Amino acid sequence: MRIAKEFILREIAGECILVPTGATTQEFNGMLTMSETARFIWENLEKADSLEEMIQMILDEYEIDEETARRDAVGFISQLVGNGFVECTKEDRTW
Amino acid sequence: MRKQYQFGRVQIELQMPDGMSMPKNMGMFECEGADADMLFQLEYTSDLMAVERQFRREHVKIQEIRRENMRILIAGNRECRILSFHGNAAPYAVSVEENEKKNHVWVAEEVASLLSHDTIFVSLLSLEKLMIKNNALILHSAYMCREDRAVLFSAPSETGKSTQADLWEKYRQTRTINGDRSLLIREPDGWYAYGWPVCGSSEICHNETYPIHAIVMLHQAEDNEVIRLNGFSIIQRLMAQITINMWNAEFQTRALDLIEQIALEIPVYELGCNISEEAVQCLERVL
Repeated sequence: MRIAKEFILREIAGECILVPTGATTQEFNGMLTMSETARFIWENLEKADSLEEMIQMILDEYEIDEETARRDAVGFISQLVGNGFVECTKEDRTW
Repeated sequence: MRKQYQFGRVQIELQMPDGMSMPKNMGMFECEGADADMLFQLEYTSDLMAVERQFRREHVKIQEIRRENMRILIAGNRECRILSFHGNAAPYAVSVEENEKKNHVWVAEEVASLLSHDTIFVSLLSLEKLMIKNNALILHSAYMCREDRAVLFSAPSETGKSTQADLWEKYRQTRTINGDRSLLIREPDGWYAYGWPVCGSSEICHNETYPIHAIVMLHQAEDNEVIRLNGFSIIQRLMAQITINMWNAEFQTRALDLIEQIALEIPVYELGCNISEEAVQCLERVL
């Protein structure tokens, strides 16, 4: 996966937010608030080489079961792909 | 014609053709003396497109950002802004940052008579950029002075910001300093509201400074109700009403830092209100 748009990730008033910047502001107004897991996924998206690896990274970081980790990862990444914020880098588009 | 103006801590100098009109509000901010932080050279042209073409020729790598009534060409740390009226593709002015201390602004001859409108004239100067560079924020708000302190009513256009300020004038003898905008600056001893040369349709504009007592986010409601906002809800509400050049990550970060500081240091309320003395009484109970 590759982050395709420009965002600022920051903590403000106890929340973690993604704010569009640069050319991304033409397509997306407002900001995304992120859970702790969502932030972890965002920060590690480009390091993982597959969905399975991403899920394993979440499991290594947080004390949650695999089903929850998978649900969080698939849910958040689908949202990011759907909005065009990230793009698949593999030809078969599995990641 | 050369004149100097001061907004908050920032001084600017305008060099413009004799007879070029400008809003009367600007006169309240006129000053004399010291070196200006930014020089704006204004002139008329019959060929705005030529200015844009010249900028494009001079810069190899340009990023173009399109906003509702403006296009911004960014080349390194230099900007060229092509301004147009809402819904109209044809530009009425182009401004080019020549260096850190000078902006050159070309204005279409046919809009000469419109330059007396504050929103149009002040847009030529990209002042929000200069303000954020100096840690000052422009808040969309009706700014009232109550007991020598500022209370700022903030909300989207047409919500009734200046209407609430009018109610306070009528029932509590407060004064409205600006019907549509205020400039917020953190001084060593706290936050202050300064005057601003844009006041929209309210036509109320004074150059006065008071310490900020509270910010009141408004929405229309049948019954009057006030709550104190906290944490992230303040950030969300203020971000929507502060002029931020979202395409510039450095300025965005700086604006977010300042907004976070406001959320920590100034009481921010949400007032659901109608047009009545009861709305005044409702807010009065918490101020």
